[in-house]
Order: sequence, then C-alpha cells, then structure tokens
Amino acid sequence: MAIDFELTQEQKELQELARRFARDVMAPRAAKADKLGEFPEDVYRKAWELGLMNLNVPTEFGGSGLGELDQCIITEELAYACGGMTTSISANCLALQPINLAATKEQKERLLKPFCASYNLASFALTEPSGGSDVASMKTTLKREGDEYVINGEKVFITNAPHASIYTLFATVDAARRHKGVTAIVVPRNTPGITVGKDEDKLGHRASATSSITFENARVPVANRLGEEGDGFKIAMNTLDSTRTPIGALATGIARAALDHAAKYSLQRSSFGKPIGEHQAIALKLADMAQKVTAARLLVWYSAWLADQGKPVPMESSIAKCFASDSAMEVANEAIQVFGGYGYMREYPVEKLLRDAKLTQIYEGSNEIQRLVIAKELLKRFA
Amino acid sequence: MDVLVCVKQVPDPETKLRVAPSGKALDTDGVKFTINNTYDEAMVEEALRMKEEFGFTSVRALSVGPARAEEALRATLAMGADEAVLVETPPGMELDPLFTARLLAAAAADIPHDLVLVGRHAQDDEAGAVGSALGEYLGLPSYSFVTELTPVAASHQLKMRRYLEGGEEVFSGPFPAVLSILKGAKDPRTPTLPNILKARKKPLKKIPVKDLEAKVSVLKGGFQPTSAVTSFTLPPPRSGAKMLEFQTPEEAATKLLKVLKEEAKVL
Amino acid sequence: MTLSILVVTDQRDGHLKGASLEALSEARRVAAQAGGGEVVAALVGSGLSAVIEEAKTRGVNRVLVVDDEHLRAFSASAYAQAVSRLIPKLTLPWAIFLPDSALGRELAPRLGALLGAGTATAVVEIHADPAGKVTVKRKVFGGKATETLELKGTPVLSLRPNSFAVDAPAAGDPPVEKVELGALPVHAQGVAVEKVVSTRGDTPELTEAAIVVSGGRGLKGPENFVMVEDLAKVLGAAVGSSRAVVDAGWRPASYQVGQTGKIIAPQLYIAAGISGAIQHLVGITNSRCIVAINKDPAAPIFKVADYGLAGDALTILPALTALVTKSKGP
Repeated sequence: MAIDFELTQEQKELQELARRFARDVMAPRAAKADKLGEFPEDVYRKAWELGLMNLNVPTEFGGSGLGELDQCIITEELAYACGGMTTSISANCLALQPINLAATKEQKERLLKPFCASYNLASFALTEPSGGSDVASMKTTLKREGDEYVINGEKVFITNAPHASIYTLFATVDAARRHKGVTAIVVPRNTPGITVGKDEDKLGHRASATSSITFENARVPVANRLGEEGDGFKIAMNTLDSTRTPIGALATGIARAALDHAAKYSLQRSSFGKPIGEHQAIALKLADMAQKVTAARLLVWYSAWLADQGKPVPMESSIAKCFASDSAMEVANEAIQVFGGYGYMREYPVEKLLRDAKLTQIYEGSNEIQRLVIAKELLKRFA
Repeated sequence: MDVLVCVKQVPDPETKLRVAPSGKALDTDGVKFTINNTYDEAMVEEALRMKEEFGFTSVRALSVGPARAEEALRATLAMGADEAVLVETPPGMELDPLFTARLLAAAAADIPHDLVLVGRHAQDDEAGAVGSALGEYLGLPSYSFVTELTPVAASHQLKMRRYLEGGEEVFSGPFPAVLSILKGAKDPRTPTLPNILKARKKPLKKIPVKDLEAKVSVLKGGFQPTSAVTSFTLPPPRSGAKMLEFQTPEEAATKLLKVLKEEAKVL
Repeated sequence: MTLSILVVTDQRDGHLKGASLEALSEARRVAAQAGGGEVVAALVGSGLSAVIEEAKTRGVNRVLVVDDEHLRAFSASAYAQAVSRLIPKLTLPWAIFLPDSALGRELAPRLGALLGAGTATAVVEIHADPAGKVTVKRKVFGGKATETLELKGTPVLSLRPNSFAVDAPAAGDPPVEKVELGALPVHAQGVAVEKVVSTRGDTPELTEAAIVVSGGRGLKGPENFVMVEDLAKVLGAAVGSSRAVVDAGWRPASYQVGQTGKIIAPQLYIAAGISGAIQHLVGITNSRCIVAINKDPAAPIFKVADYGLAGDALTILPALTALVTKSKGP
C-alpha cells in the first residue's frame, strides 16, 4: 500500500472550494469575457479573497502555503470553468515563486507580505521579442549605478502586465556571460521608465491580459535583487520546474470540460433514432477522450506528488505538461467534432476550449522544448 | 449565550438518481455528497451573524449521520462555527425526521444552546420536520420559515418575520427557541482557503449513536424510527407528450388545467 | 368501534384555505376506503365562529373547537397542545391530517413529536387498509423521486396543497363541541403577532420558481409576449424565454432558458410557441412536468413534454389565464 490515490479530506475540501468558485463565479462570466476580451478583475479579486490566488506563498507571508499537488487539484477545477481566467489567477504563483525560492527573509517581509495582504497581481517577466526558451540570449540589461540598477530592454507576452503591481524581472548584467549574467530583480510597476504595451488580442485565454513591457532607464534598488548577480538563470529554471506541472493541471481542466460537454451532448442529440453517444463513431471518440483526460491527470498528480516529496522532476514535470496540453488540444478538437456544426459556433462552449487549449502547448516552455528535456533526461540514463 | 446549528449532509443536487437494490432508498453507491445542504448554508450564515452582530458567544454545529457527515461539519467549521459534534450512525441504520430530532435533542442536552437553528428543509427528503419536532423534544418554542431575526438579549425576546402563504408575519417570541431559517440577512459566505485549513484543527467530537439510546428511549417515539420507507421510485423516462385533443382554446385550457391538477398534481 | 380521522384546519387568514378543504375532502375518501369511519374537523385558534360555520358545510361528522385568546398568534407549541386536548374526544384516533401550509408544516412534526407518532409532511397520496395500516406517498429530491412510507401509531400527515380534489360543500348539521385549552406549558406561551405584510405580486426568480412560463418565436411579435407574462402572473410563476426571443431583442438575456441561459428545474414548465431547439431542451429536462403549446405537432418540444397542445399559443394562453383567474375566485 505504498501508493494511494485517495485525496485527503482537506484536499477534497480545497477541491470543492475551487469547484464552487469555478462554477458560481468564473463560469457565468467565461463566455462573455472570452467574446469581448474582458479582464474580469472582480473575479480575480474574489479569488484572492478566498485564498485561491497566492497558493504557493508560505502562510507566514500571507499566502496559502500549499504544496504542488494541492495547487494542481485547485488549478484543474478552476480551468474547468475558464482557462484564461485560471492563467491570470495562477500568474501570481509563477511571478512570486522566484521570491519564494531566492529572497532573503528581509526581502520576503518587505516584498511578499504587503503584496499578499491585499489584492495584487504580479507578472513574471522573462520572455523577450527574440524568443522565450533561449533564456541565456536575453538582451534586457541591468546596469549597476551605486545602490541602484538601471534597466533597459523589452519583455513580451507578459501575463497580467497591464494590471500587475510588481514584476519579477530577469535581465542580464553582462550579455557576454550568457546564462551566467542573468539576474533576477523585483521591479515595482510604478517605477519611472516603464511602459506597458497594448493588451494583445489573442486567439484564446482572452479573459487574461497579456502585453509587452518596455524599460527605459528604469531604476530599481539593488536591495530588490534576488540572490546574487548571475543567479537569475537558475532561479528562473527552478521556478519553471515548479510551475510546469500545474500548467499540466490547467490543461487537464480544459480537457475535462471538453469531455464533459461532449459526453452530455452525445446523450441529448439524436440521429437515426438514438442518441449519437450510442453510435459507435461517437462512443469510440468519447472513450479515447476519457483515456487522455485520465492519463493526463495521473501524470500531473504523479509529478506533483514527487515534487512534494522533495524529489527533482525535470522529466516527470515535462511529461505531465506536454502530455496534458497535447491531450487538451486533441480532446477539445474531438469535442467540437462531436458537436458537429454546433461545435463550430461561438454560441456553444467547445470552440473556446480548443482556442484555450492551444496556448498550453506553447507557454511556460513550448512542448518542443519539453520533448527535448524529456529526451535529454531519458538518454542520460543510457549514456 | 450560544447558538447551536443543526446541519445535514445531502447528495449533490446534480446527482443522477438511481434506486438501491432494496427498492427502498436512493442508491448511494458512487453518489457524490455535497459538503452541506444548501438551505443549511443560509442558516449557518445567520447563526454567524448572531455571533458577529448580537454578541452571542459561540456557534456550535451538530449533525446526525454516518462517518462521512463529518464533511458537512468541517464545512460548517470552515464557514466560522467554533466546535462541532457528530452523532455517528452505523452503516445502514435507518432514520426518519422525528427520530433524527430525538437524537439531536439528546445530543443538544449536553451542548449550550440559547438559539437552535435548522435549515428550512433538507434537499433530499424535503421533509422540513426536524425543527419543530426538536422544539417539542427540547421543551422549547419553535418558529418556522423565519426570514428576519433580531434577538433582544435583555428581555430574551426575538423579533422575527416568518413566511406565510402570500405574505409575511411580523412577530415576536421568547428564546431559548428552535428556529427554521428560510432566508438569512446575508448571502452565505464561501469558506476561504485559509479557513478551510484552520477548520481541520477545530474540535470535532463524535458520539456513537448507541451512547444516546438511554436518553432517546424516554422521549415520545423512542429509540427507533416511527415511519419506514417501503419503496423509492423514479418516474419513467419521458416518452413523448400526451397530446390533448380540443376544438376551442377554452377547451384546451380546461383540459390542461384538469390534467395538471388531477394527474400531474403540479397545480 | 368508530375509527376517527382528525383534520386540523388552517384558518390563519380568517377562512378555511384551499389546502384545508383538500384535507377535509381527502379524509372522507380515506375513511370510506378504510371501511367507514368518522371525519372530525379540528378548529384551533381564536375568534372562530365564522370558520365553524364554514367547516360544518364540509361533510364532516363532528366539529371540535379550541377557541382561546391564547391561540390568537400561531405558536406550533401551543397549537400542538390544543390539538392534543382533542384526542381524548375521539373513540379510536386513527390519523391526523393537516394541510401542508406554512402553519401545517410546522405544526404536524411538533404534534407528531408530542404524540410520538409517525409523521409525514407534504404527502401527495394516502392509502388506508381496513386493518388500519396507513401508507403515504411523497415527493423527494426536488420532485425527481417518490417515496412510499408506512407510519406507526396515529400518523400525523400534512397534505401537499393542490394534490387532492376538493368536494363540493354538503348540507348537514354536524355537532360542534368546544374544548377547553387549559394551562399551557411555558414553551407554548409568549408569541405575539405585530402585523401581517402581504408580499403577493412578487415575481419569483427563474431558477427558484415552482412554475415557469416561457415564450418563443411562435408568439409572432414582442407585443404578444405579454400573454406569457399574464399567465405567469396569475400562476405566481417566473417568466422565461427561448434564445430566439432574446436574439430578436423582445426580452433581455436574463430571460433565456437553455444551455447558454438558465438551467431550471421547476415543478411545472409551460413552453408557449417554443419549438424546442436542443439548446433550449437542455435547460428544462429536469422540470417535473413540461407542457408544450405549439402549432406544429412535429415540433421537437413535444418529445420531451408531458402534455402537448397542438395549437396556437396566441389563443390558448389568454384562455388559460382567464380560466386560472376564474378558478382562483375573487
């Protein structure tokens, strides 16, 4: 009995809280926010009020202090209602994780505690116009002048950027040093010299806001630096290691929504005298979809469980993220097929799932990068 | 002064209903139980308001049910109740609303209570019978379908409104008392994540139902149900409308109202 | 020996309510079914002389009355005590019926607890056998299931309104006996009513209403949608619509019933001029009883409906409104 898939009573209650929030607060807003590209700030504020926002911040600094499995359970429930809103809610976990991992106690007291004490959003600012996955080639610079750093450069595709109050920025103190020059620093949004670009018009995740951030001689105290100069690459990688699995959970939530919509519809819609779900053509589709959703969840839970045991999960988290996001795409695609012409209409909820699923294959490390990581880890064992 | 809330765990309202092999009950195999009865949540919120606005000292929660009913009590604790007591029934034990009321009364005897609150009814059996029966067993007044509640501590009086067909009655009565709450002053709060985690650490006492047998046996009705379910049935699946034949709109109206009253019994 | 059914009526607003008349009529039927027995009306309250006369016309064998100033305001505890004073007046108490009104729903369980008797609220069917066994049916799980109960002792039953037929008044002069209330325990004292506030006319929430009337494009134009609202008003129902009505701008989106609108589960759903796109049907399948009114007898709505009227909603709706208004009386 070394393995146990039963959630604890506490986990069931967290799941129920997230499920209710998703059903009662997020779901009624999802279609409209998607259609209009709205940023439903009241929903996010409510998520913060209920403690669903800064899940990974220790309780002593005002967060919920949850482990990775707990985060994944919650994230799947939220994403079941709306992937885009879940991205905006989860963005704080991503942006605050560098502080959790590398900040001193003094920095946490100063930067995390007041941040978590009221409703605030944070952004993780890593990706640049020239690419996201090639972190060592970043061009945004940090130049030290006395007790301050002067920041110049541009970050793109930054979730919540127009609404965030702080950014955890990754920039280089010396581009020639490649990844050894990358440095992490916490930048207040109101720092002079920061320009936030227009809110991007996206295919999916339209309830989330995404934009570029430009830094022109923006000055930030050295006291906001996380770790030492050159620690940034490692901080970024460790952060992404811990948030990758929850992205798999987000994708699983989207996939599960697609499966449920398709299964219900297949019993309501009849053709040739019986519900289409009783025709093999549709039944076999549903079976394949159910397999993918179940497998995705188990891979997510396994990776999160390992991480909660303190074990490194480079391969498992990549497998979870990659499989779950590919599955979300496939399941959403098949859900539209089950709905037929109706599925293609925006009146029905499934085409949104396809658009939302797509991003999970791209962000926080594209699935191509995930596959490279998986292959590298695999081959290590035989080298 | 203390508030006691009686809560019941019920199947999720979206549960697909199936009949148990016995033919006498809902098949609970695979049924998801909600954390709490919806009507209880409005009631618990009202109890918390008594504490927050009217200086009641504590809110305690009480439930009768199998081990899983602990979930309903934990949810009540997460909303803000201070302590909880579960009268734990063994698997398969049959209850009816009045037997439940007797068990609640026996357990409540050892829990301080100036106000005892119940929800308007449980979403499963929809009996709405526990509240006033509990009042009788505890020797307290009962007030049902209460929509507004203001306690006046100095005179031990409650100013209340209650539902009445087509209206509401503004009235008063003494407490300690048992109240069934139809509607609270506020929407029920959603427990926050930190409060859910804190609720795990609040005291929850379990009393085996057998321990109450002596106390319950002396109450009218005794240590047993006084009603028994002999069958539990679901309506047959819809097989297409029964078409009503008519010549004039008036005939259509007459025929329709007749079947709705006498056959479908929905009017 | 004469079996007795005691019928405790609800005359909280000064006359016998419909639900009380149903309980009296059903008691007569059940008494006959059980091989004969007496039906005794129990009037409990204060200032009951007019109601006593009303009760005498309802075919009962006897009328028992507890008329006392202390019963002016309704207290379940005091009323239960009052009813218990009447039990010794029955030769062989066999069952106690109450209407399942707000008053009856509170009084029945309290009385059941006082007597230690089997109790069932909101019953929709009652069967008696000559051996004295009482079984009842009641709806559970929002009307989605039915349970049958067997009850011990002298069962106390509250009868769900609109579930039993009402007999016409009958001539007769049954004996009336007044019974003293006597001393009340402390828990049955001290309730005082300040005033009664009418809330008639409030429209219920679409998702909470027991009855929902919806209109669709079959109403031809927005000016006719008022017919749906008129019927809803007299039924105390909420008003809904199909998606087409919302898309056409006749009514705001909050009216829309269906997959992308509101999912509802009323006791009674009346769809007028709605053909039944699957989008709409998803939102209504949990309704207990669905009535469809549509010109096209092949409309999909008739597949999920319980009762169908193949005709023009524009003529049938006003006829229904008129008939309901008439049946409710002045």
